[in-house]
Amino acid sequence: MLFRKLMGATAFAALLASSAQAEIANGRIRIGVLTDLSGGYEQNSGTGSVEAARMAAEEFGGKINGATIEILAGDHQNKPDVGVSVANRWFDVDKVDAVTDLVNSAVGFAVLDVAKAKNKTVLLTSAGSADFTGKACAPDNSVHWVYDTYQMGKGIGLAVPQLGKKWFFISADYAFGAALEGAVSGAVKAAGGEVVGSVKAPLGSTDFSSFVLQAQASKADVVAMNNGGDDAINSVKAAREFGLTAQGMKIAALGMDSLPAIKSASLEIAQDGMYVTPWHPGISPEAQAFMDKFIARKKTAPSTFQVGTYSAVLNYLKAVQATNTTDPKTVIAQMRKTPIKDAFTNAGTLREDGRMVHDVYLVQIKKPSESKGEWDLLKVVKDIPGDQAFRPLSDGACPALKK
Amino acid sequence: MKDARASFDPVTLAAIAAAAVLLVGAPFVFYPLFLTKVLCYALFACAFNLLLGSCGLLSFGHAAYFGTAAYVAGHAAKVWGLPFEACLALGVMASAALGAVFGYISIRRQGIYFAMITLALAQMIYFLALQLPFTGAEDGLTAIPRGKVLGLFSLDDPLVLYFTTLCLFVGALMLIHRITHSTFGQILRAIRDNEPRAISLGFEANRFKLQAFVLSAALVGLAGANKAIAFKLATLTDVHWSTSGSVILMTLLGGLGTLLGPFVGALVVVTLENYLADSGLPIQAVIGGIFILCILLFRRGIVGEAQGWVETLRRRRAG
Repeated sequence: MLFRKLMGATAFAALLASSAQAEIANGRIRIGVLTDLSGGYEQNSGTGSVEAARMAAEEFGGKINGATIEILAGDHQNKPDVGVSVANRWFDVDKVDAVTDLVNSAVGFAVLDVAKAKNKTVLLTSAGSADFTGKACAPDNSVHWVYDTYQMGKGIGLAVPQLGKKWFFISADYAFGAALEGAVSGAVKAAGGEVVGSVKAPLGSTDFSSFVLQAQASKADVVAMNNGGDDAINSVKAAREFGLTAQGMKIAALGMDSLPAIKSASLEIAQDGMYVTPWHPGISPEAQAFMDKFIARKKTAPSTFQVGTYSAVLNYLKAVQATNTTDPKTVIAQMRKTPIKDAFTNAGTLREDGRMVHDVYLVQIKKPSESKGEWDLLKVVKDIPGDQAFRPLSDGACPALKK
Repeated sequence: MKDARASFDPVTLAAIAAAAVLLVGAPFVFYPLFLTKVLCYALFACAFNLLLGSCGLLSFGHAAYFGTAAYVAGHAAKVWGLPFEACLALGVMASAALGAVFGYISIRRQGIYFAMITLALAQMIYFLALQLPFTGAEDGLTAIPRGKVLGLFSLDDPLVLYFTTLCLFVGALMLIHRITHSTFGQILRAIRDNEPRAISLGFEANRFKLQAFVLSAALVGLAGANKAIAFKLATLTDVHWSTSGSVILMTLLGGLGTLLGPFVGALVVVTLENYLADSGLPIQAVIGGIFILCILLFRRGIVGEAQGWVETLRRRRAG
């Protein structure tokens, strides 16, 4: 009898072992970093994200349970159909297990759709639409790691006591700008503030003087520069030239939100601007150490998205190691069970709708006189707990969870 | 000029047979989804060539018809849940209607003015696509269901998708060949070569130009609708002016006015865009470099030059 039980147990164990071994197919784990390597998002994602993913792989010595980790890099050229073609080829021909970065939400949605059909993992680190954990959510296939539009709006709203009550928006005239303005103004009103005016500036404007003058005439406490890239630099510059900050108005630079972006705008221009960021190097010694390592390799500080890519890949690989499989559902379930503590966050948790919830920070850009080093650019005004910043699960935005 | 309805000579027949074998065999060697994409863009370029090659009209706004058909077909499949064939038909009708309106306005001018008017009109479509709610603006229209062809075979199978696209492509190519080799095609060429003379012979040049424009827009629409279903997405890239530019590049690179030129051009550009994506090379610069080489060294395009060599060889043998 005992013998029989033993036999059964051995057979069962052997079965488990063999099935587990079969899971990491081809003896390798392939992660594709699909990003913009040649266009406008290169600075915040691009080659820096590829490097960050490599740094995460190196922490495992390039191998997990005998399987080699390979990092691939792809340039979607900001064309969703190129992104989809590359992702399809990666999944079908190159047997890629997970795709990460995906800056540009249009590419993100398209690739997520492919990954769902082919049962692969998507680690969204640079795409921002809140719909990734909303109507397009895929809890068994994707995680949304760094930020989303809901959190950006909410975070700013929570900063109303620090910033001021009367707001004026200078928004870039495109859908992301409109969505963000909606989210921020909703949050501002909820926090007891009011929106005294808003103006839409065409994308790629170089002359912001008329918009800034309208902002000045509005007698607002806060002027929100709801734009990115060169537009952010030009609009903040114009606000400085017209003396808005000298009059005591505060600038919320929603788009000038990464260390490299501030650096390229220069502290002279960007100083005193406030924004909400999911990460800054002051959160922990680990974060600082990661930044130093990154600077040594890339000669520039990492952007928030790049640290996020590092963190997502790192935690994905940890879960692959623990479960010895690359099956998306199993790996993501493991990621949900494990609290996240690394260079990106001190206490993060992956929620069942795919949202990684972590603290965010209201920061202010330092004056040139306050900065002690090349990358000493920020001071923290306020910590915002993750459960206040992100959309609560009880909102039920993810239809896939209702089944 | 040769007889427009000349029957095929043995060499051409052999070439067609070889092409047929290649096209049927290709998905078993290469990645079918990639080939599907090549075919979609090849059809786009061939339809564009119908206007530029036969009629000499350089439209700089063909992305408008491509993108409109993509959005319409995508919306029809995703929101209205129509079958594949109906989505294609709606896409083609939408782009043909748009082509009729835009063509009516733009053919009144020639050369650079014509090109600029088509560009301006196409930009209007771009901004409409950016602002209209059903297009999803920057996020695009994604997760378009592919459905079944003839209600029988699921297009989610890459091979079914490829062969369906191939049938549409070959059908459209035969139609284009038929059009360019008909009396209608001859009149178009006459207008291209000398419009005042064609008018003096009693042809209403504008009417023929408008017809060619609408035909071209409709076939571009077929390519756009097919692409939207095949890749399950329609986005702003489809209506962006750079797509209009890219189709001109494909046509010139392959060989203007040749039947197969645009196909070869599309093959080259799409292959570069796809396979250079993970090479780390600056893709746009590489494509630009190839284009410059093409302009400097073989101005008739790849197929144009090849045909030139064949002609020279034949003449030598005959002489």
